[in-house]
Amino acid sequence: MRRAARLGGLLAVLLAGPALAQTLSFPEGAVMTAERQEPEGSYALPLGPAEAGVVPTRRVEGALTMQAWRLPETEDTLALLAPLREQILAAGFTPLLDCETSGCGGFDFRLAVELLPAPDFWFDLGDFRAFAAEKEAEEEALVLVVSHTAGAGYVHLARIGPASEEAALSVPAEAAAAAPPASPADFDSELEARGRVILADLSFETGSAQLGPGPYASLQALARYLAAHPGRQVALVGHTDSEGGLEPNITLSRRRAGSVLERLVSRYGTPRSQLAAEGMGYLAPVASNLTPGGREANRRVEVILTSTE
Amino acid sequence: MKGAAPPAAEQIYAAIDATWPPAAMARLGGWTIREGRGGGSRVSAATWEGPGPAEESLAGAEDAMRALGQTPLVMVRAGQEALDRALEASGWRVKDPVVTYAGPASALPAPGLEVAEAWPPGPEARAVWAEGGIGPERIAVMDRAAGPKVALGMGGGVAYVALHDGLAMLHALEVLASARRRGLGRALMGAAGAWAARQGAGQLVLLVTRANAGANALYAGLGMAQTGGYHYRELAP
Repeated sequence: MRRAARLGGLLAVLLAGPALAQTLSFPEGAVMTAERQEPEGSYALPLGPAEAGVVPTRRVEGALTMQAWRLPETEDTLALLAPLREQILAAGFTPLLDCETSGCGGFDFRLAVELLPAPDFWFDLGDFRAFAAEKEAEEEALVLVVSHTAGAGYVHLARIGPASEEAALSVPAEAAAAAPPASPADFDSELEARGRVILADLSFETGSAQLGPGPYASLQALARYLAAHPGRQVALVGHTDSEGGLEPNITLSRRRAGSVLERLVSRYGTPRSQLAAEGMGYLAPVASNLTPGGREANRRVEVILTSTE
Repeated sequence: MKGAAPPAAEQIYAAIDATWPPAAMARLGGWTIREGRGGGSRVSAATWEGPGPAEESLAGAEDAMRALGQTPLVMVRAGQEALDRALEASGWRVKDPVVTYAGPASALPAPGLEVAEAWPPGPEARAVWAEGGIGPERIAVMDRAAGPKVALGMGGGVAYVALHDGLAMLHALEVLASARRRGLGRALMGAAGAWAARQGAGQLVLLVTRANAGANALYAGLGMAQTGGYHYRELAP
């Protein structure tokens, strides 16, 4: 499947909607490479550079979001950090820490701060900056770590505090996904009228069942639909093109549907009782397997409404 | 679906880091530094990704590894002759040349014996591994792999297989000394191939030290091809 690029920048701000005070805006060309969310998480907030090998930290609890972003052709960590730092300060946050490489404590700093792993976030021990800030009234804190390596820039963002809806400064979320397949209303009506929707924005590694990091607008729409209709059930159905044997293709397609199911449960809290995952292999094509474009279209995961009332 | 073409060296290196992951990886200029936490050479060795000559930043990489409490160790990959010479000149000595093998997953012979598939590994599998020197630090390495993975086990033999980007990679194949010469290794390889094929992987890949004659004979005898290799260089304390 095609790897869907997720664009930050303006899109995140435009789609944030009136309910949010502000959404942190990333420069154009920024691509989210990974995200982890914990509704009830904790994070060791760095309060200063390492002293005698130890970074002073304070453990904070709340909804935790960690995101890794990659930016093309960046050589300067300050150019990465400055626009983000500016937005955070403008939102009324108080800086706790603002340091660079050895000023942060070098290796000791890396070991003290929890970061999403490489290759989603590459940290260069010899060239990085860190910035932490909090808004005490809201019990909200942000930690930015920026680095660059092999011609690309990397930004790591950790946000801890109240749930996103109540945040003074929220991070780019599901709405930042590029080219959502349809508006939520269209999604609901298509699912109910036609009985199925192709989750066209999902991306998988070639030959792998692992779902890309997302976020995916189609899964957000599906999660919202299932939350609004707790009595309804759906099946996620994986499909492949006709390259290779039937049995491995059925297995692969079922595993891909299973990855989508797990993502709905872990990311959106959708109850398992509303979900099933199945695989059809190449037995239900939507296009010819004779052309690359047709095979691409055939590699997909659909959601079908299985409830009869 | 991935075809039957043997994987490129870069694919194998990526699969090593994904299926046998270090506790953490970081860059230091052109170096990738790995934090192994006692998980062995594969998760602790630094690699040179370039560009340019490695010598200038070698001291920094050494310091970074020492800061992690690790003995400075570099994995020298195929084609890195200049790096190899630079390390040699600075007193780094060769350790454990490794050969990589690959073969179509579906071409391995059916196990013929019943092989259990499980994740996480059960107590019997852990006991066999422990006997062969694969302790909790290496089980922690397997735990870290994010993709599909499995522990294959049968009376006195065990192996771990994990998937990355269409490649299945086998690590930690261990047969108790008392259970050798009964075809367990061969059966485990067959089970690994069958598991990999069911996951949609085209190729099964593995790494073995050149000095391990028994294992090299097993893999060659199964029709797997040597696709390349690497060796380590260590700066003795």
